[in-house]
Amino acid sequence: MTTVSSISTSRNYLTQQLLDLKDQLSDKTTQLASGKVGTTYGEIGDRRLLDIQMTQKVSLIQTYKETITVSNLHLETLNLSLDRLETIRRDSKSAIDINDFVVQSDGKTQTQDRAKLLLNETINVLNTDVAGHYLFGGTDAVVDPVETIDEIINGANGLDGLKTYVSEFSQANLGPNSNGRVDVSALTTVPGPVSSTFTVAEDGAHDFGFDISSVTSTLTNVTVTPLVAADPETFDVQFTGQPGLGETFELELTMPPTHTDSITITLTAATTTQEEGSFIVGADLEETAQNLRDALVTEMEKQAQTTLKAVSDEWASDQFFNTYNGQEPQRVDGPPFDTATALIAGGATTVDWYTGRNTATTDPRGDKNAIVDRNLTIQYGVRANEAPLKELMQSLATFVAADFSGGGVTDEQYYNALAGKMQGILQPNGVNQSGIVDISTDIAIAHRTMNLTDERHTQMAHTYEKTIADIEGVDQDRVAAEVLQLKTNLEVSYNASSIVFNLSLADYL
Amino acid sequence: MGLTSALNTAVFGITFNQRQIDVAAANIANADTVGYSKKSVSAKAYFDGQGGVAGIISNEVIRTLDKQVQADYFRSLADTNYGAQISAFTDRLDDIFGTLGDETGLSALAGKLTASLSTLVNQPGSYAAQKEVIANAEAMAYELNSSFSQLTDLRQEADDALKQQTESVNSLLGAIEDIDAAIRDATSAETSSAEMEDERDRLVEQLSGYLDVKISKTPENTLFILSRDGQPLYSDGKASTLSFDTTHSLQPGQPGQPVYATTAGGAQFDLLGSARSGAMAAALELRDDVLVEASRQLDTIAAELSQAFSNVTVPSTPTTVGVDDGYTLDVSGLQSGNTISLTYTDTLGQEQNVTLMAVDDPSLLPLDNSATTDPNDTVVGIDISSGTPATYITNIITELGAAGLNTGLQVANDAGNLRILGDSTALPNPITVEGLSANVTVTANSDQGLGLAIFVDTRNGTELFTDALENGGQRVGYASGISVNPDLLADSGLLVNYQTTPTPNSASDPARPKHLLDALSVGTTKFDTGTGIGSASNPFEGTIIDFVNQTIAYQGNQASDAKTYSASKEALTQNLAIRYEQSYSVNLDQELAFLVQLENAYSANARVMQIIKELTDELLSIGR
Repeated sequence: MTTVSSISTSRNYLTQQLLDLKDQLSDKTTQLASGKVGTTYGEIGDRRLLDIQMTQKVSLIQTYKETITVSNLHLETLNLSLDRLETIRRDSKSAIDINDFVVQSDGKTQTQDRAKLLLNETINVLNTDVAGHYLFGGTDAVVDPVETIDEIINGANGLDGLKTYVSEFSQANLGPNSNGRVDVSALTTVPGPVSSTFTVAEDGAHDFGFDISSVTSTLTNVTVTPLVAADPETFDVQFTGQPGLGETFELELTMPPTHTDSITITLTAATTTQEEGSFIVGADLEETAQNLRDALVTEMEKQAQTTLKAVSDEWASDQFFNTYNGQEPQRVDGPPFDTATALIAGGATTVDWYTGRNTATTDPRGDKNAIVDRNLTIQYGVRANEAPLKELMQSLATFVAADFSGGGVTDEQYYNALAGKMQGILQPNGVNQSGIVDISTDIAIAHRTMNLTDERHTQMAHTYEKTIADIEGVDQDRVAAEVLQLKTNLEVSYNASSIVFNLSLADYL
Repeated sequence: MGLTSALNTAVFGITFNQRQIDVAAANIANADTVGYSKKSVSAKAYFDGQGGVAGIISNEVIRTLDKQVQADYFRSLADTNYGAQISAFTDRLDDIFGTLGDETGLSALAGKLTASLSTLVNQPGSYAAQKEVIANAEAMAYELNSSFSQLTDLRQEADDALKQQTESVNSLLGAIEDIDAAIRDATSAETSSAEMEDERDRLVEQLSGYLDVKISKTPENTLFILSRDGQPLYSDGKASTLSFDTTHSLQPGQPGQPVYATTAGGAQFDLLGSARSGAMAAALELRDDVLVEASRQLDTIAAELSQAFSNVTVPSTPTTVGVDDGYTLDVSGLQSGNTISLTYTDTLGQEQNVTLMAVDDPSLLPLDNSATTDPNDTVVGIDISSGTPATYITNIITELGAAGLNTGLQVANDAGNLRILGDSTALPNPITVEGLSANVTVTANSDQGLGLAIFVDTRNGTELFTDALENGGQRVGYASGISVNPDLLADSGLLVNYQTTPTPNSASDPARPKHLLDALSVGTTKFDTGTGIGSASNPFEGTIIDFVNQTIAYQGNQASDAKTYSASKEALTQNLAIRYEQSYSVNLDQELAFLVQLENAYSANARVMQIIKELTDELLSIGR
């Protein structure tokens, strides 16, 4: 009785206790409903900082996962595109068939038509975009990074295309006399004839056309000066008598632009010209000299029209397409082009076949970044003017742009030479794996990393969420039991209070 | 000895009984009156020469209460009110800084801003991604603004509360003065003052809630009330007057007024200077410390967030003159609040860090080392009010000299640039300059590097936030004025386009988004220790997001601590209150039982009187 009576006298203690109990009950009911211990960070205990950080991490992971979804789409498309490009590369090799020279009525060979189709597809694939991201434009292309076939080949908007490059380089390399810019003078004869001399001379110091590398002669009564000088600019051939049959004259010419590849013209003294590469020993030394000179001129002109022209085309297309890392295409300094001696920067006058990101970089993969974790950035930028892709474009476009419409023997030889060159570009000697496959490998690795990161994120988010639930959450069963207990307590207290408040001696007097 | 004596005794008894019944009736009537203490009557009996009762004086009404418990209770009341007040405010602070699962809390928004920036890095050209960044930046600025204004309101509320409390205390003291005078008079007249003392206790109880006071009683039964530091609040029957001027619109960084007490003699003292408990001390502490600190946290978040985006590092160029190596730095971009960092090794082989901080107002010089949060640097202020780099350099040379830091360092103006060289011939060790760079705020949206002022200060029109020190510091109250740069709202492409000349960068260039993202989530900085996070010698260092998280946890922690303190004090006070109440309160049952007892005694006395009457009648009838 003493405790109860002491409560009954207290002015507000009992009421306060009842209110406290009721507050507790409503707190617990809220906890039961929300599943959380409270609403503010003050209420969740000392692990609140961890809780805040975990919550933030989970939210970040959601963003990373969104990024991964988009990037995965990019990577998958990139993978398919690269696969297709690799197939096109292999198809192109067979399309540019050295032995299949059939000129159609439109002046094109069948192989050129096939190459054009492949080129079209290549450009199409290189212009693939996925939701605004151009896969082959580095990172920041906002339009198709590669121009159309027509613009590339024929130029547009007053800017020159590949054809102009090819033509200018041909003029510069072949020279005004179509002889590779190595001229053979007319014969000078000392009457008698005592001696006959002609001079073979380059038209100046430049990279264009043939370069006389060496001259070798076993002809008797013929003096070549200077005989031993390596890489002469010019040489004289002087006949002082008739050479013996079967004796040879050999001229080695190197090809632009590096002048490391060479062709050798060998002429053999003979009685008829039935054999290719021979000259007739005539009635006197003057006639023989004239014959050698003429044979040399013919052979050089033929080589210039075929081999040199193919080399020139390759050089032109190299310059046209080589824009990687912001390089400027170099074109022939002219007009006049046939006497040009140097290249000039052609950036401002040439169609930019690739308009994607082209700033200097050591690794174009770094162009496109996908931030998929706090410290993990997946890089999968690809530029259409990277060497392997450029080479595919270059070989197909050059082949398509070439003009074999004459259909003659020279054209066929030019065709053979060019096809060989272009095949060489598509698969250089001694290289087993194409560059496109190298890019594919990079992308595949990025894709794999991305997927692993995604899985890791899923697991981490799960762990974090569990921690958050541990900190913020309540044990529903326990809270339910507590609610029940509080309810009972409250009911009992109400009863007891009611009894206490009603108990008064006054009622019994 | 006789019937008269017996009758007298009975009459005295009846009178006393009546007095007791009066008191018991008053007790019963006031059983539920708060602060009413149980009264009892003491009687003094006077005896005649024969040992008979000559009279009873029964005017002394005694209050029943435990003085010790009362003192404890009053003291504990101050603590409880202090705790309750603090807890009420910190609980709201905790709410302001973020609640669980709240998508618009600072921490959630900082996370979202990071997330949207990282999305923008992946898709710089996406208009939607740009807008998302801006939307999150706006939400962040808005959250800072509104949190700050809530804090300002709370601070104003605390100030207003102080005013009300001052008035309440004044009226309490006045009432005490009145009632104390009455008690003194009653005591000297030897009449009962019990009821008045009850009233006085009630007043003192209320006073204890407001202030931590020391109460003692004088022999005249009057009070003597001292403030915690021994200043008289009420002495010699005179109350001191409290005065407090509310600040009608408390601006950020503006201190509120103190509460003064003026004694009857005219002496004035700061009432709450040393107060530790009581509702008034709590209101003052909230206004001047807790809420100021919370505001400072918001200001720091706003300032660091702003600067992380808008400030760029200007690198220096390595320079060699003769045999001495050093660096040359362009200082033309300096604005008030921007810094130049210089690291060199002195002749003793010690590494020295010097921060040159630009100010527009030369009267602020010299600056204290605490102008930067870095505990390891020497801060040298430089006047840049001229706007001319050549003059900056002249000032740098002068100020370095004034700070005694120029020994051996060769500081010079090299064609308008600052050149600082070491001294390779110095002894015992050569002086070498390890680093020189400036941290400046970009003034344009492009062509000044990758930085971008996403946030600007809109308190005074649209201004750049440079963390200037003038006018008390631009940082103070910045959270109230932080806003997204209107240029950015007009053109979201600025998040990507950092260059317009010679050629604009591509619309899909991720360089600027990457820079902004790194500024927010990778770059670490040292944070202002005035925020209560970190210490002066070891300031909190981390990313802005880390700091935001720390701040929210800090507020949560503070609220939780205040709640625990308040709850424990309340429990203690509750206990004391019960014990105090038990000691004085009226027990109805007891009173009623006592009443029955008195009734019996009364009838017994009446019976005695009746018997005496009968006996007297008997005696008188004998003579007839």
